[in-house]
Amino acid sequence: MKWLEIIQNYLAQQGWEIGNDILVVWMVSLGFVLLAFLFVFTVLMSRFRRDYLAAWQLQFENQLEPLLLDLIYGNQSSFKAWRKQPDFQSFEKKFLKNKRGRMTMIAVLSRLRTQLEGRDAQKLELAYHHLQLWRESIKLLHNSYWHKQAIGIRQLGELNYVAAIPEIKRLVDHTREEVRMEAQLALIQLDQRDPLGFLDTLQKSISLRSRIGLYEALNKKTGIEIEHFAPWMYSKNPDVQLFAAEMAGHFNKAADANALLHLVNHTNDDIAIAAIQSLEKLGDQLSMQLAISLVDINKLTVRESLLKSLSRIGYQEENDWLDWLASEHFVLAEIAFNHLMKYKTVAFVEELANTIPSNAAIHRILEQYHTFESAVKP
Amino acid sequence: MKEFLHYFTVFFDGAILIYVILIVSSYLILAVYSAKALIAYLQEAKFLDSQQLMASPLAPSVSLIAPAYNEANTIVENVRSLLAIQYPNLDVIIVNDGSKDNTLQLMIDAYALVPVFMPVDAKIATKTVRQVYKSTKAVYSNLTILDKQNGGKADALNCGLNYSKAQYIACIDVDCVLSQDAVVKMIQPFLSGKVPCIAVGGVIRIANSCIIEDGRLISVRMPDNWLARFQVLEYIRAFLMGRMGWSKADGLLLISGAFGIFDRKIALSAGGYDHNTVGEDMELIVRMRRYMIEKGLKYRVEFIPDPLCWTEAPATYKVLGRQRNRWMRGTIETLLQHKKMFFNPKYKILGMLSYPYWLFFEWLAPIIEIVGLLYLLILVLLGQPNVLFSISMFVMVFAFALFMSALAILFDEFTFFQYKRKRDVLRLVLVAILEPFIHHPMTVRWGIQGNIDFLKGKKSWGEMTRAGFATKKVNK
Repeated sequence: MKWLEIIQNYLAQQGWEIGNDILVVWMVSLGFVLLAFLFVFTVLMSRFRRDYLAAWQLQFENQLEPLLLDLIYGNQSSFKAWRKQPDFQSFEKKFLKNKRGRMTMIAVLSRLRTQLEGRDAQKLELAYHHLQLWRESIKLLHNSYWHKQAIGIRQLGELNYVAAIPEIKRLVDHTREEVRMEAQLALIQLDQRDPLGFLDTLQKSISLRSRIGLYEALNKKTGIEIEHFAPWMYSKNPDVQLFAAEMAGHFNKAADANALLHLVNHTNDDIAIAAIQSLEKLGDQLSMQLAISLVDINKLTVRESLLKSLSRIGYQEENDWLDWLASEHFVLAEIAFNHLMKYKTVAFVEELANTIPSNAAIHRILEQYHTFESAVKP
Repeated sequence: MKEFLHYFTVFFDGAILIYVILIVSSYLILAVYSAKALIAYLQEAKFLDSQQLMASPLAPSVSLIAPAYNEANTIVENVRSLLAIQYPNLDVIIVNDGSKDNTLQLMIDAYALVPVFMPVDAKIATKTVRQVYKSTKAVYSNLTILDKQNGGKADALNCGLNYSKAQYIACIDVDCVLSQDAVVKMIQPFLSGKVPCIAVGGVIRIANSCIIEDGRLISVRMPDNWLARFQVLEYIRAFLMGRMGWSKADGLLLISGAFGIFDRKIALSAGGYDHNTVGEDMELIVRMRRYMIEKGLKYRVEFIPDPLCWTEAPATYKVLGRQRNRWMRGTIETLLQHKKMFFNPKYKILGMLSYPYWLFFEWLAPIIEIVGLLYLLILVLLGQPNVLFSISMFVMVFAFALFMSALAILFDEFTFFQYKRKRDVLRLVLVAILEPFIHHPMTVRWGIQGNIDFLKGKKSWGEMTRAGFATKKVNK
């Protein structure tokens, strides 16, 4: 390469005879050092940028705060009157003409919206609608980056822009889980008529994180009562079934007990366990008793969950507990032992254990119990 | 002889060049992967709502397992700090590993503990558990103390694993300071994704000189001690650039023993911690991954870059040397135990990339470096003409080290921005310049010593003396 030759010639004139290999190594080394300095320079510059942005944000919020207080608690006759006041005019001119200002305004409104309720919250929504800030959010929905789309959906949901429902509905089956979740949460917020309607056609999975988010959204939603979750327990999407089974218990839908019972022997253990736990929450003793015969004897984790639920609701059928006590599965025998010890003496359990083959788990439990007793006895 | 020397130097120069090219390119590739992973994480983190999880009855159960051995000075505070961790479905299991001091009695007194009967189906053999304690106070109902015979850290963790009933176990060092939302953040990968997550590792940060009150980190400060400062830079590089990159490439072989969360059933099925190694943290994750691959099960191992766990770094060369010696022995033991994976395509990235990387650039790196230095010395003594090339290679390695350190500082700046004072950044830059001359030679020495001790069959942990956070309080 020509530049290598130039450097070599120059060094040769200085009395340094250096080969190509060494020169390349030196050049690479110099490159690394220069890049290192560039990184440090970038770090220091970012500090200045951070300071600048913090100052800008402070100025923005200082000017916006009295205006928002006036909007929410003031005596302006209408939104138009509020907007026409000189202070807001100058704020709009200074900050809302550029994208950063508008996005910051949306962020502030969203944040405040989640802290307020009723008419105060509606005034913030009004500002979002009338200042046409929703246009920024809609633009984000069409962005090619998933995280921008998700932010757009969140803004539209939080600031109650109902007109965006059709656009958001298109995204409930997005490839990215975060976008799906935001779309589903926004629909619960926006769709007063059928907040869980998207479950009817949902193809993609609902992760535990999404289920947690959806539960929270339903819990917070006021004014709308989901009648029952049973229809979704027959969905072809197992995640929808799981979600419905969980929600029936959390929202105490006694009418869903039959549909839940239908799920206790589901091939998917998670769904079966969710159904059992929901039946427990409903306190439906009869269904729980029926579940005992429905749960496959080989499904250990489901049976474990069922026994725990039965113990918690105080299921009293002694013969059943004695059967489980004789189980060769340690965990089942342990639950039965703990349950019986609430009502019986260890002598009772021991008497029974003597009638069971010696390899049963109860013998190990009793052995551990005696070790414990001898250790704590003074 | 002269001809032999010529061919020998040509061969050696070539070998060093290839090694340097491989190590530099692997670090660069890891840096690119890390950058991508960090950007993705920061984007995803915008949509994580900790409050939702905190209030949710759907939150999966987590057992925090912390082994304690002769921790009388700090145990009560440390347990209080663990109990203060915010998570809706959490139980704390402290395993008193046969402490010779009054660690157990202090806990009994402080938390009103009484012996309780808790049957256990011990899936992993451990030393005998003498007693299980629970508190009589409702406020500590999620605290369990296991008092057992001494068997080492791995044995204590296995004991916790046997007794835990939770879906996930978080294994931590009892003297670490966890941020209050540590579990909420670390559990997130288990809550999402179609492929099940079996383990999540977290970043460990250096807490020396930080302001810590009541077991909580109040303010992050650059350590006053230079040795700890070197470790700050090392940790940023290792976690934000190394492990983050390996996590993205699905080749992570190590989740630090100081803080990691595991799927309890998978950890049990894989056999729990191996108490025959001093690198039980690395060994467990390698074995869990092997278990999943050999069973043909899909799985993920994730890494969370948030600064959630803070630990006190050794502040003297003697203690740090013991720690690094142990790390080296742990690495060797784990690699030898799983030598079947070496360049074995069955293990995909793990066998073809991660294992060779650990072998050549972690285990053998100090040996190769010392051999290279000796070679340079011989060249100088023999007055060989290609000595300049070898020196140039060393200069390039130094320049590259500087580049990587500066990049690590940049990563930290644009992600979690931990050191907010400008002078702290300048101190880090100074550390980056000095490290290759002061700290790095020591780490090479400890690496070599670790190799020697491994050959001698040394199995001990080595005493880790710490000043403790309680004496480290700094007034603002």
